[in-house]
Amino acid sequence: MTKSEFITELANSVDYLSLKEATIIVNTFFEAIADELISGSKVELRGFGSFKVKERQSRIGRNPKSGTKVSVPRKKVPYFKPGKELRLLIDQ
Amino acid sequence: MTKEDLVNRIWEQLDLSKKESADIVDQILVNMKTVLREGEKLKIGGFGVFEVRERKPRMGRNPKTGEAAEIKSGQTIKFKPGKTLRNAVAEGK
Repeated sequence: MTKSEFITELANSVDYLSLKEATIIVNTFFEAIADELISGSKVELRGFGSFKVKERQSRIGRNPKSGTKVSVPRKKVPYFKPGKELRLLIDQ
Repeated sequence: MTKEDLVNRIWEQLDLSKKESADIVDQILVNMKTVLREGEKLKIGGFGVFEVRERKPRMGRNPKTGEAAEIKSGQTIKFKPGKTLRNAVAEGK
């Protein structure tokens, strides 16, 4: 499902929402989570899961084509941990 | 950031009551769960992709007792951040 299909779904689920409002809402929802991660904080959504930033240590990697060693610098990556309720729902 | 902060962000954007904003955030999460429960991928452009993946069985250990225990196969959620989000988080801006 794409974002635009997801927006249409939301507009259908909530009878007082127009498609335009649903678009603003879905964009705001994901932008707010992204902003929080960019600032290095985490987002906890009870029953769903949490988004946070994980620090990956620097390591020696290899160029998969040439096989030469390259150093991969330390970096921050976004990470999602599903909550218990979501895990149980999916794992059936 | 908690769900309440997310509700406030949405409430600030549109002419909705707090209650409506909270209901909408809950509905977003319900709809996301429904998509994933049906085994469908959810692609949010610029943000990332949520998908259901098969988890292979493997041997793990009970962290309390140290005993070996089998971790059963099953389904799990994988979130793959999109390029825009990955770059923004890596650069912190």
